[in-house]
Amino acid sequence: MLYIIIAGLLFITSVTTHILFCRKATRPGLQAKAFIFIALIALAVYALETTMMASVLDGRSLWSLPFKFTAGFIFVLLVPVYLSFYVLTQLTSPSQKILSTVAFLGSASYADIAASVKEEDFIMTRLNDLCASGCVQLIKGQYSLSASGRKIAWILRMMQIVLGRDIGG
Amino acid sequence: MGMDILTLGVGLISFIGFLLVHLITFRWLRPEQLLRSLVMIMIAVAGLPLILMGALFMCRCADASLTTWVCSTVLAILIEGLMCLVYVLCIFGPYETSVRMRLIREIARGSSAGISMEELLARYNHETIVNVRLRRLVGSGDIIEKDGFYHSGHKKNFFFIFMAIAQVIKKWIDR
Repeated sequence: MLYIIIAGLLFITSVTTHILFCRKATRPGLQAKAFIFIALIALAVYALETTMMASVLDGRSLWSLPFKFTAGFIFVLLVPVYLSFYVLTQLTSPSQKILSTVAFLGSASYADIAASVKEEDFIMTRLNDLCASGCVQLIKGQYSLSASGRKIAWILRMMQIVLGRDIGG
Repeated sequence: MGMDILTLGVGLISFIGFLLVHLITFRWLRPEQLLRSLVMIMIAVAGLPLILMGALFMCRCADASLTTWVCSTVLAILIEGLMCLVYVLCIFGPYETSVRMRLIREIARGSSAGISMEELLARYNHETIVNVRLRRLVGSGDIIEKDGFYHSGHKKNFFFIFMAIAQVIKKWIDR
């Protein structure tokens, strides 16, 4: 259990450090890479700690149950989970917008919902993000994919074959 | 070491089980059946680590105390659950619902010279976004449609829980 507690504490420390970093950050936008960097340092600390303290931590009592790799893997899995929630702090999804509109109005018509979604302008904001990230380029009023955008499109095509589902969106 | 690897293995095999069921069955699901089916599969597959650990315990695969076996089972369920969550949040969710991913697909389907805004909006627009999501949300029971009007279904659905957690993080960041 000590391994789980150490991994849990390191994860809490990583999240706290990231939140403090976000408070101080001057550059606008998502600070996801910063969290990955912090999490990697924390994981290195965990690896070092568990290697150095193995003789103390390993045993047969409840506190020293041997779950070194399991705890490390749980830490790794918690990183994308936290990042998913963190992204939600900066972005609103269309489904959330629809749900909050319906909850706010109590009873909403299709036109009310469509107006709220249109007001948020999901297409233009996302398209501008894609242009800013370099996946999409706008040349003479025509949108086309850059090399990185074409890679993503290829991955999405492969995913469609594997998942066997429609185009999505 | 043995129980540690066993726990990871059982969690991983259970996740593969989830992935197989998901890949086979979700091909035929309509958007309105997605959310409910996803939750049902995740709950159903959560029992798999329990069954696998039970079988391994019966076979006496590792020399460990009962406490270790119980903890190992709980951790295997946690690993399997987290892997499912990561898959849904980071792979399946974005593929199925991301506006950005859809825009990339639509631009890729255009000619090599590119696609104009008008052409893009003719293929994918706010109406499509609303229609697909309403079908999905009505199907999952998160929204109820009655006489052409939409009302909240479940008071505490996944979206609100996710938003509540995100709001807490946002509050800490903005403090």
